[in-house]
Amino acid sequence: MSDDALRAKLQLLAADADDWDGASRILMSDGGPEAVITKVLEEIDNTVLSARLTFRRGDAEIALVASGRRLQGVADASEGLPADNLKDRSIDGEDQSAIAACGDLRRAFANVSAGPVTATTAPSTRMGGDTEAGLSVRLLSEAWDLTPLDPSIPPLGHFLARLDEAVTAGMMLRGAEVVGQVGEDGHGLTLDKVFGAEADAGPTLRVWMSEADAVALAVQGQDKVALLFAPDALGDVQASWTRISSAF
Amino acid sequence: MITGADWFSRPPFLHSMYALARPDGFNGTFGERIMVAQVLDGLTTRHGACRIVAYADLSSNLVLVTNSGVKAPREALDALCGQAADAFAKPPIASPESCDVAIIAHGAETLIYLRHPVVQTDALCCVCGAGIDLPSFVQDARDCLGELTGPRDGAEAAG
Repeated sequence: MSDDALRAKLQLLAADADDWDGASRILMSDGGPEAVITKVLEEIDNTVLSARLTFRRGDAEIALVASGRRLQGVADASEGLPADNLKDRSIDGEDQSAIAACGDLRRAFANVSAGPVTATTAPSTRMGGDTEAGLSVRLLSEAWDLTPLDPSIPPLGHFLARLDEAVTAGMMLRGAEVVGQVGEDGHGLTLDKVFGAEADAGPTLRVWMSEADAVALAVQGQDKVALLFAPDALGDVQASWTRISSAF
Repeated sequence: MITGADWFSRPPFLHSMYALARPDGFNGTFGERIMVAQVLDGLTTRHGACRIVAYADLSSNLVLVTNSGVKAPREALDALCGQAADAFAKPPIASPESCDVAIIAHGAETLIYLRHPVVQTDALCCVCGAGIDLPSFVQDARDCLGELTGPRDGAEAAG
């Protein structure tokens, strides 16, 4: 199968589950910096054939070249983003200064503004010599402070900890014992009510919302997390759940 | 006005394209059925991670109309409707009657249920992939339900 035919099939498969804004896929409608960079890494990890991935948020734009699920280089970046030392050259795992510069670029892009993040994909020539050229998503995750989840902490512990600043209150139970708590005090009765909702062994996340408030119950085995949050934090709750889902 | 019997007598392709009929008849004209299906199709078109959207009556646990690409059996859709009714039975939020969205994320599937804040028997039951953008989808689905049932403030819907 030719590259073009394979590319068309891969895009067709990928397109089934995407939202679109014109020719751009909407990766997320809103969310914090970590959610943005997680989406960027997912896109790199989904890129098998050499492609130019252009990410936009507000007026900011970065164009990356990826291939074989690896970041090979930075093709372009909008004015104001720190990419001068990265443009049009290949990057590899030995180049610590380039990895650090990539980190600065991703931080600048992820923090640039709020709003939707979109991506377009176009064919591109490779920027590295062989199939192992570039930076793997695992290496990027580590270099960009998205370290793997600590296996000694239960997944729901990570889920709760990552929502520390996003939710009004949250609590984790292991059996009947309180093993974690975030947010404001004084919401015990509300959280008790959430814990009392019918739930199977999971792993499952349940959310109930009105326009004024929202609660969630996450369950995995004997661990349960109850959350009280403002409806506009729904994206953060989803991002945290998505982040730990790979650990189940 | 079309009755349930009239609906079942129509060519099968129309069933698959536009609607699943309620045995006691959906209180809408054929054109209104198509309009409902188009609204539901719009939602799945804008949100590719959403595969099924069903406009349902929670009081009878019956799906009235689905988006046009749905191939799921009628019984499965009605079961989905039953799950929606269960999800809204005892929502653990401060004012349970104001709860209009329930979400269940499990594995690669996310089920999203919305009920109209005024006509609480009218609901959307949505089956989506885990990659659905929840904030954007919920807002859009609320608007769709408002378009189908009436304004969320009850200006016309209550009648």
